[in-house]
Amino acid sequence: MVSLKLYTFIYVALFISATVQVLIEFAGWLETMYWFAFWLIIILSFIKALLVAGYFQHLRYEPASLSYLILTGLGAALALTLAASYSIQ
Amino acid sequence: MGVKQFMKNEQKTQHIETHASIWPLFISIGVLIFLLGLSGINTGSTLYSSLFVIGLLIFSISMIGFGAQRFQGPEGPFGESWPFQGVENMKTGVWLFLASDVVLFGAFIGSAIFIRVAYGWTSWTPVPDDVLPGLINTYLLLTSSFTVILALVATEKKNRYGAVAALTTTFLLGVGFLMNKGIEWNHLYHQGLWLSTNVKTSTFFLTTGLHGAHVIGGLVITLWLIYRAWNGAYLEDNRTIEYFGLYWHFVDIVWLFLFPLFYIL
Repeated sequence: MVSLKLYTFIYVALFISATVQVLIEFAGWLETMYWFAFWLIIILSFIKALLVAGYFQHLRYEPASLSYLILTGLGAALALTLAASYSIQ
Repeated sequence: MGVKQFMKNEQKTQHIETHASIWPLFISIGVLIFLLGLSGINTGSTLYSSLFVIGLLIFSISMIGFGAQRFQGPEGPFGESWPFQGVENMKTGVWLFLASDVVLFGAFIGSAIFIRVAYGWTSWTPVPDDVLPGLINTYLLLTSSFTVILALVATEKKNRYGAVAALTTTFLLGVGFLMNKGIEWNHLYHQGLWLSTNVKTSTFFLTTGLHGAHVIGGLVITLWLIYRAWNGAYLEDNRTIEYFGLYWHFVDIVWLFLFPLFYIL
């Protein structure tokens, strides 16, 4: 069991990061530099997802096969989305 | 080994597993009637609302029946062998389910992205004009994820009331999430935005609705966990709470992507 302190720290980090995503919008970056703000927000979401999966779902401490299992599902969904979107670009 | 001996062994080991259950059939029938009722529930007709209630009843009873059914599973190290050695069968099962759920959400989110790309990504604005309800829901869900961890920690410390309190908080935060969503949806509905208004609102309501359905499912499980924890369960073996946590955190992760995609960008 990882310490409660670490879990609390991650929870606070997630909380702040969600707030930052909204602040990026409030700062007007989506109007002035959309794609920079877009990638910033998406990357923040991925970091948050990694934190939740890695620590809250403790994948970091499990055999890697479980992570590969989930990544297979995610990879399939992402590949289809990207390929379909690219095909109409 | 001789053929006779082989046959004898085969006979000994065969047919101890039960493969068939009638319940999945009833679950499907329940879902069919439920969705049929749901599809016309805003017409106000009693036929549709009756179908909705009857379908929900059949579904719930069948789920309970399926859950309560005893069956013989094949024994052996199948799940705990390569590549999942060291991972308990039930945990591998939960992760397999979550992987399938990733694909399910992938289809919904993927289609939303595809449709938006086809429309012109930047000429598309989010359906809700206010980001705050979404942010509050993010806070609620993140906190409810944290309280599941607190429940797990409480059971490790053999603290029965701590576990009940943490699970109850999880439940209340989940209810808060749904209420907030309900207010938001109601607001949008009165602005004339609903499922069939346009393709943009369709993707919004369907995807966040699917997520909401996952929250509702999680809350039903939480109620059961609270009831069991109240009676002193999980203090010796808290794996059930751990596995529920895996699901609940997954629902949290999905929202971490839905929120920017459907509220900010």
